[in-house]
Amino acid sequence: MTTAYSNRAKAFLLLPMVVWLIAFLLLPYVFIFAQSLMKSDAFGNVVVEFTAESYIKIFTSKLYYATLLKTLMMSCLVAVSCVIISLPLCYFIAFKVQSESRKTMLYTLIVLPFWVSYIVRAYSWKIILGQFGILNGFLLTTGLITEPLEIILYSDFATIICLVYILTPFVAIPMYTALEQIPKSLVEAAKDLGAGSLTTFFRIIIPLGLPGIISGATFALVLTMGDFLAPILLGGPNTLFISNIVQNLFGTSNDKPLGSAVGIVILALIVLVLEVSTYFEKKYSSFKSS
Amino acid sequence: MRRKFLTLLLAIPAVMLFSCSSEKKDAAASANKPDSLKYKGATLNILCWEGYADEKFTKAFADKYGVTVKGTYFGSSDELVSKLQGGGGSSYDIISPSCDVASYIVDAGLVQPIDPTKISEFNNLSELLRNMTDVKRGNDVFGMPFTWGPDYLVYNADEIKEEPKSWNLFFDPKYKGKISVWDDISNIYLMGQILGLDKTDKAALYNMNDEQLKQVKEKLMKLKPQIRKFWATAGELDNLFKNKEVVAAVGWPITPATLNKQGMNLKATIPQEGATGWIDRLMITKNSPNKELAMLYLDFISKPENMAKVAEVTTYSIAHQGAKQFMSPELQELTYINNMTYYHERLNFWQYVKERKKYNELWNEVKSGVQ
Amino acid sequence: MRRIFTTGSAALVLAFIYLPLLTIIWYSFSAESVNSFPIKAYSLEWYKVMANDESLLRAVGNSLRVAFFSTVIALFIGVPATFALHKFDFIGKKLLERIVLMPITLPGIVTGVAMLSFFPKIGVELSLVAVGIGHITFLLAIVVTQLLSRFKRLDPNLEQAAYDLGATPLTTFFTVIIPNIRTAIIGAALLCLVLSMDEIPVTFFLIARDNTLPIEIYGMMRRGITPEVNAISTLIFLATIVILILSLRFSRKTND
Repeated sequence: MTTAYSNRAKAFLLLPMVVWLIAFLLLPYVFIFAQSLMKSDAFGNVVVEFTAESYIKIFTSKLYYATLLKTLMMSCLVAVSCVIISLPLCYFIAFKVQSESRKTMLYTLIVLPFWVSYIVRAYSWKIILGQFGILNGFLLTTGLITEPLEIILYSDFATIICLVYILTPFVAIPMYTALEQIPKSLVEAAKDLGAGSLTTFFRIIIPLGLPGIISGATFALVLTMGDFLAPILLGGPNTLFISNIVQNLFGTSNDKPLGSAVGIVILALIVLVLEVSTYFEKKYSSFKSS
Repeated sequence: MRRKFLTLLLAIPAVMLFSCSSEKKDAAASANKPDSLKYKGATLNILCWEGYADEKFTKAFADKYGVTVKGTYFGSSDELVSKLQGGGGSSYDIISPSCDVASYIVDAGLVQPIDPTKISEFNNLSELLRNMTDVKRGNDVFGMPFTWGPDYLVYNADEIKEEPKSWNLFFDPKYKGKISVWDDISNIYLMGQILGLDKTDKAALYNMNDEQLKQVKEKLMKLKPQIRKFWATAGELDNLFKNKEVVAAVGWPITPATLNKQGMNLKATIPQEGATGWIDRLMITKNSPNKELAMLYLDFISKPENMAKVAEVTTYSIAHQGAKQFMSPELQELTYINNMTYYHERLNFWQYVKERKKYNELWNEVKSGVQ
Repeated sequence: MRRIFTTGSAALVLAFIYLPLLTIIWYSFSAESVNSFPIKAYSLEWYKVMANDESLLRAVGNSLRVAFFSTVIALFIGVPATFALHKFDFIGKKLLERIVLMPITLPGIVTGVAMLSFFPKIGVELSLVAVGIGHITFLLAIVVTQLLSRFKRLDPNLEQAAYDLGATPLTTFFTVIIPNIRTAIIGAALLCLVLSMDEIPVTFFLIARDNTLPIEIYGMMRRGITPEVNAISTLIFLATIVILILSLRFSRKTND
């Protein structure tokens, strides 16, 4: 049946996308890789001359490698926080809610914010955490504090809480899918054998839900590594992510080769994270996803 | 049903493409019309500092020629340069570079010469500014003098009752977490000034050696715990003051001008160490698609009555002294229009930094907190 | 007791997800020019300001245009290619599948600066056109992932029947296959529209002077005209919900 399609027909269907992806995706990537191996002059023009200068700089100058490490740590923190926040809700929907329609409704409630504009969700934290924001206002009126807290907005803390907020749906969706697939009979069997709720949770549910948890956490980790807006909008004088450095190198410092090199290093790191995560996801997956 | 759907999918882009191209046709057809209608429908794009494309003065121009004047704001000189070099090409017609990158922009070939004879008021603009050589190459003039002003110490006078004498206020533990400075390498100049590097040679701030840069960095690292947030645009600084997040900051006159209209009590001062300052010119980009219209705009904006409006919006000093007849006495005082050399004596105007990359890297290091 | 703990923590998490959004809606009705707590007076002032904000309206127009064109073009390129990916085996198929997904698996900022560096070299000036090309590139990933699973559920007999009646493969593709998956296509199109309207990392680098809506809002937040942002955000939120409901309907129909 497949032979019914001539090669010309196949090309007609496939070629536009292949050409598009080569022209507007692969070539740009190849181009910045090439650019990362060049130099820039004092005027910010790219000089075509092969050098590994930029890469040497990234791994010897503390500004670059320390920021990279800091971003990586922040990303892990965000990913772990997302997991901790999503877990009770996903567990609740998967195991405690009986009716199917309520399950669907609750699941939709988790998915919905995923569709709401990033910038809108980031902005909401500016209202909440500001000097005269809701949090301070609330704490002041209840008398818990007498002076407005100053450290909350414009800090690492604000940046992290905003990212956790934005990325929680990304973590919750695969996590819920994984938990939902755990046979309820297995949980009951554990209980019949005398396992307490906590034991069941940690010995049965967590290990079996692990692939979903890992893939969710990976989403959060990778997306935080590439985020540069949350630090700008909510970060303080100390909040500088590696992506902000890329943005600065292209937007203000005008050092495109170095910016490209930092970009390539981020890319390599993320591909590594993705590979490791896929490996563990496979290793721990006990059920074939249907 | 399905055929209808497919036709619809195909038809909509076709219609939109068609309507786009017909717009262009209109512009081409109007080329032979009289002056007042010649540019009808065109858009003049200005890439400038905040406040330089305010409706209060652009509207009259837009109405006169039936065009749209659209301002895009940049937040730092480096941003301007990278926008111009980054492939924006013909996106902008007019730019407003400051004196730190003006000569560089001319040398990099990003702008084209202007014709002073087409600017009726050109010879009435400040002689001091007209005589500056950084935007002249031989007989070619690349910039029209526009405005200048200081990087003030701006403070909330309700919180700080006494006028600060020194920039050291920024280091006062009392104001920890209440200070804001610009997210820009100009902080390096400022620290240099606080350290007294420009006592004998004004240019020293822009040509620091490694030892001096190290001192500056130490000073900036000491300043950092005092900082609430680095502001990136004047509007962001306004917001920080308005929300009482900060009480003192490095800022331009436009900040008190904007906020005091809204009932705040901000004051601005040049402390004893001095302050840095800037001189802004208007230039026409190399690839401007609306060169003639851009020249007409330069002619328009340099007229005294329009310059006065620029002063009103920004409270920056303006290049046309004749504008003062259109200005209130308070505004005349704020902009030092009767004493046009005042700023030139008090301020250390930005200059081109040859080691700009180094300055930028240092500033990134300070922001990242890396020692 | 334990039951209360699980239910309670689930409710807390839901509150964490929804309170910030409700906050924006609430504050959009504040009459003040600063977002302070508690709100002292209410009004529709900021909706009025918004409705008269020309550059904001222009940005909405730009965003709609970019989203529309990007989605249409991504569908035109993506749907046939997805069908081919589903139907044929060819050298480099696995590689192609991975490449298509690159824009959504790799960080947008790197894609953004790569395009920023490369596009001007091939004569694509930074502009809304560049933004559109950037959007199409990542929307292809959405089209392919959304439709591949739909193609897999398509009844092969349908296609065979068309051949038996003498249709050529391409006629079959356009007159039998496409109409049969049209609900899935509409669902994918809606998703593409929303994602394009919301895209920032790539847009941020490819934009010149004409802003898209999220970039305009970003600019407003940086310039500090904040209460107006509450009003726009509320409207965006409502629009999103409408589109989401629409797309849920279409995807449900597809499953039938």
